[in-house]
Amino acid sequence: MNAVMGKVLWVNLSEGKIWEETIAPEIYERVLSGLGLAAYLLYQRIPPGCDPLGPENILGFVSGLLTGTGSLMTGRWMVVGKSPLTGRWGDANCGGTLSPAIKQCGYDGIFFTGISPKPVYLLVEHGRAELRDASDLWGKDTRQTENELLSRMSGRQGAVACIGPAGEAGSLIAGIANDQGRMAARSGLGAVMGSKRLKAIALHGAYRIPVHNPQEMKQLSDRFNRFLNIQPPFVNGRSMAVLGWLLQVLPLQMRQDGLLYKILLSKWGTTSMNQFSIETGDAPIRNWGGSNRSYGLRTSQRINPDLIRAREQVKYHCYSCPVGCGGMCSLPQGGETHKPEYETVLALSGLLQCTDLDIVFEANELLNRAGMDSISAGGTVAFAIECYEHGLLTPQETDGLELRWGNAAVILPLLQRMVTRQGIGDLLADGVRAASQRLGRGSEKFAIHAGGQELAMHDGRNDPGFALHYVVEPTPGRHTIGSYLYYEMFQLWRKLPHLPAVRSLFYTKNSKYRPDAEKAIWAAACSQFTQLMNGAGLCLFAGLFGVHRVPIFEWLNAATGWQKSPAEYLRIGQDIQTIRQAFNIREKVALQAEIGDRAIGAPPLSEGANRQRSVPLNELVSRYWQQMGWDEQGRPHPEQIQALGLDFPE
Amino acid sequence: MSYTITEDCTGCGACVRRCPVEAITGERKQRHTIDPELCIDCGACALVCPTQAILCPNGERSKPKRINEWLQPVWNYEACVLCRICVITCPTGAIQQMDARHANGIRAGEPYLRAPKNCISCSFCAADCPTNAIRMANPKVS
Repeated sequence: MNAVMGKVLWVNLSEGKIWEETIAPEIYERVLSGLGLAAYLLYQRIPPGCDPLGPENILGFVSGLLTGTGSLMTGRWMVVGKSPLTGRWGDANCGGTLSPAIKQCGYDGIFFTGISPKPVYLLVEHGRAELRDASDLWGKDTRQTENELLSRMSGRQGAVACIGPAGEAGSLIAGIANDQGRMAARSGLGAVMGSKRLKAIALHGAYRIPVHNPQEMKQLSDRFNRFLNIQPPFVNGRSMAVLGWLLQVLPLQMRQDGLLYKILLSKWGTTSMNQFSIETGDAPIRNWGGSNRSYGLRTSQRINPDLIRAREQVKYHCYSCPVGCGGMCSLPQGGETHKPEYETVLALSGLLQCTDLDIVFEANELLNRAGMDSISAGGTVAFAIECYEHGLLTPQETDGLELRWGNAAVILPLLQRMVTRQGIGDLLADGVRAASQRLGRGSEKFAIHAGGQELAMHDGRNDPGFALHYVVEPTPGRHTIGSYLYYEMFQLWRKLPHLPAVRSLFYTKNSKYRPDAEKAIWAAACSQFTQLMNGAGLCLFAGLFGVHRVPIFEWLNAATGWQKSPAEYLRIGQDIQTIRQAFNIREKVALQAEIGDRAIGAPPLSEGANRQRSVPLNELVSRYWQQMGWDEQGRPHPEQIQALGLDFPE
Repeated sequence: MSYTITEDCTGCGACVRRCPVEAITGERKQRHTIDPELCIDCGACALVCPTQAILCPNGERSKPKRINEWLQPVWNYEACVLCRICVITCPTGAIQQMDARHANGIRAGEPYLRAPKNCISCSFCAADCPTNAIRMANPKVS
């Protein structure tokens, strides 16, 4: 079998047992590797209704099918399990160096069951796996842990994924870090790792990854790379702010293309969108209650991408990525940190009405080291501030911290308390849903989440596609699956002619809010294509460059030797989504996740880019279920699940 | 199909010391064996075996080379896209990325042979480079 290693590693932490499981080639052909394989295995192995923090939950680390095959931008690894944050299927996705390391150790995935009686880490060195005592690592932050484990690998090129103090303390918004603080942050799976007393996995291997046609892989990569080389010198940070303002005042929406996004990513990374997104109404402000009017151009100038880039010491590339949207930056107090992503910057600035970039950088490093999701952390701080502003939290309850909009001085102390669960931090450490349930006092209306997960920094009132995916995805509240913007940029119609093309460069903004049948086609295609990318290990940003540029279908055929059409691959994406949905049916959770009223414009804002905008969510959801081929409740039909060789959930 | 050791092995241990994945075992002065489950076909054993006792996957006997004849990676930085594939694929960790300090004309982030003595001339880096930015050459000649 080409492109995959053909087996996975299982570890029972309760018993200290380690064994290999061979995966039949037809399974890969049915669901690919990566998230597809993980969903296929965990649907069968996680008992329905299990405690996400108990021994029966399974935590998995999987590599993508295209990782290490000579393809580009295919170094994503995924962590999977039942989410303690949402009670649903959970997964998170990350770049860095772990994905190739999993395959170089001889596996397509590593899965953990049980709970260890003491802190341990898994060491895999070229096919030899053992559990080792991690008592001395427990309590260390993610960078300390990674550096210590790498030093024990006698200078070899290894990779480490680990939790920090947040995961150890069972914070439901904890993630898992690799490569000095890059996080698989969402779904709270760091808490699952902490509950298993698994501090880290340390991998070093040198197995070669078999490829069906290496020459064709190179030719395809070379062609893609020629597109990636395009980089005009004339764009600057201010021009992005002006473009955002222009698109805000125009009554027209401009179709976006991956070429512009590629240029911006190469130059600044995701922070290129900071001011642009605020101006266009994409970025939520002041816990989703404000607008670009309350965080105007002069204010947002403090988080201009040029200011962030000025702190960049060296560019950072994930494995197999020529774009290098990351960077290592200097910290105001000394030391270095990964360049904060757009999501982090906005969650710690606009969402809190904060304008202190130094605080954003320090908080970014604090959260990376603690192993805590910066989106959820920012959303939770915003919740706490709004509760305080409305008198639902008193100074006595906040340990004297004056939680006011724009009071940057309290952000770091509050985050530190959340990491260590001290004082007010214990209330907030599990995200906004748990905090509002414990606090009561009518605070629920300030808890902006979908299905328990804090929303990302993309406003459904600006692009209703985001709101739709926030509530219909098996992992709610995620911005990395679909939106109207993503559909435009994927340009799937170029390879799948049955899908509707978005050809006009401009269209009316009002048309975005019509819940017509075409929107459901877009959304379903996004869900399917993103699951395909997650099976392949492809970076979302590569998908956003457009399928006429990133040869994902051609790479898959050249790497495996299959001769599947793009439509057949999209069908695989649909099947992966079906398995994830079936998992949630079995968990007996609402398939349409609840979402904070503000996030869908109920009531709508009275000013700013999204004024008087609300999302026709229920119409969109029912059309989406229909387009996915499921019933009106969002339940796949029994034969759709049985065709995958799986039992239909009772 | 991995490399195998024939009866001509004298058990000198030269291959054991060079094997990057510890796939070769054996008592000193006894015939050694290669674990096919661990072997990655890098060919390091064939380069160092003084008695030509290694049978290569193509069926030919190994031919030892003097270490100063071993080919090593040379980068064309015009074509390099800093994707880190060569760094990760190197089985000995001999390739590293230049850190924030520039040195010897190599810019930050660019890969280079940080530990030439660890290079086993396997050419995996050149084979895996997606932009053909690496060629294998004798460092003294090139």
